[in-house]
Amino acid sequence: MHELRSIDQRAEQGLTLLEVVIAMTVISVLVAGVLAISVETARFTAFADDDFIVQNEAQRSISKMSDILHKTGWASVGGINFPQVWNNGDELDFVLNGDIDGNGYAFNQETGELEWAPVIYTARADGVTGTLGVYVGPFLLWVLGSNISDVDFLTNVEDNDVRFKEIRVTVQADRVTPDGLPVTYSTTTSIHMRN
Amino acid sequence: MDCQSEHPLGGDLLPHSGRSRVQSGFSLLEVTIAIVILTVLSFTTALVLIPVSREHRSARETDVANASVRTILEEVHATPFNEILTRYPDGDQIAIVGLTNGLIAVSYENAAADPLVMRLDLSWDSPEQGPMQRSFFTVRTE
Repeated sequence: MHELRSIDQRAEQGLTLLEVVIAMTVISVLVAGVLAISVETARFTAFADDDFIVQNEAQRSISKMSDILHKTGWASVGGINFPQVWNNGDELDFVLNGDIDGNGYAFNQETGELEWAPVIYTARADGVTGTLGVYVGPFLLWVLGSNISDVDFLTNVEDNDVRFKEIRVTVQADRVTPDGLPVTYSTTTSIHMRN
Repeated sequence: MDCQSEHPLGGDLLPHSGRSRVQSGFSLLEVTIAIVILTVLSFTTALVLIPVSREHRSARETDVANASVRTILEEVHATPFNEILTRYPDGDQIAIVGLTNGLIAVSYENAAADPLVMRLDLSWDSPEQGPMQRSFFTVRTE
């Protein structure tokens, strides 16, 4: 009976100050660790996500552009030679090979000459919206990619190292993570033309 | 013995207080255990991100490698047929910028043939997955 009362009294005393201090210290360290891990995890995930987006956008736009520029080539339409690079490589004017005489082929069956549609296309990136597109005059015809901050075209006219049938294209994509970190991806590729 | 004293965690702390368990709230031990569990879960979540990060890095390496080969293939198709063997001789090795020991090895089934079958063997050392290798073929004709 005396032993039971002593246990009850000890229980009623609660925890000592030392116990509380130690417990609070352990809890604080653990909570700080959890918070640090959570913040770093969120940061890493955001950066990896943005990194993937810019890389994907750059590659996607290059792939789409390749599909289009494979159908272009050196041509003279209305007395103007195409393709033509403008604004230090920021814009590319080109025409597309197509079946103009309706014979079912994109070349003249008598002469074998390639046929070129009399439409002038312009590939350029919009610095405000970050959209890389192909325009006809002021009208956006095809969207090739977004988050594109810069594009650069190079042909044999600007650089002799570039092959005659080649267009060298550099695309740079940019994003900013929620933490304000810039994420950039730049890629250069060659695209061979029809002729 | 009442129902409070039977509780394994907090019941015996207030055996004669007359307050219910609901009024007594969580004990320090309960809170500590909960935080330990949360900590373990957080560490586990963080550990899951490691393989995700590795996979992301590998995917990026593969993209860089594929883009390099695609550029070479486009250049080959832009090169006059009679200059291909000069620009890309049999056994030539082209370095890939951005990949550890990244190389593209050029070879031909028959260098004198037309159509010319060109083979590009791409290899690099991935820090995560070890040696990587892929092969690409293209055909050119005069």
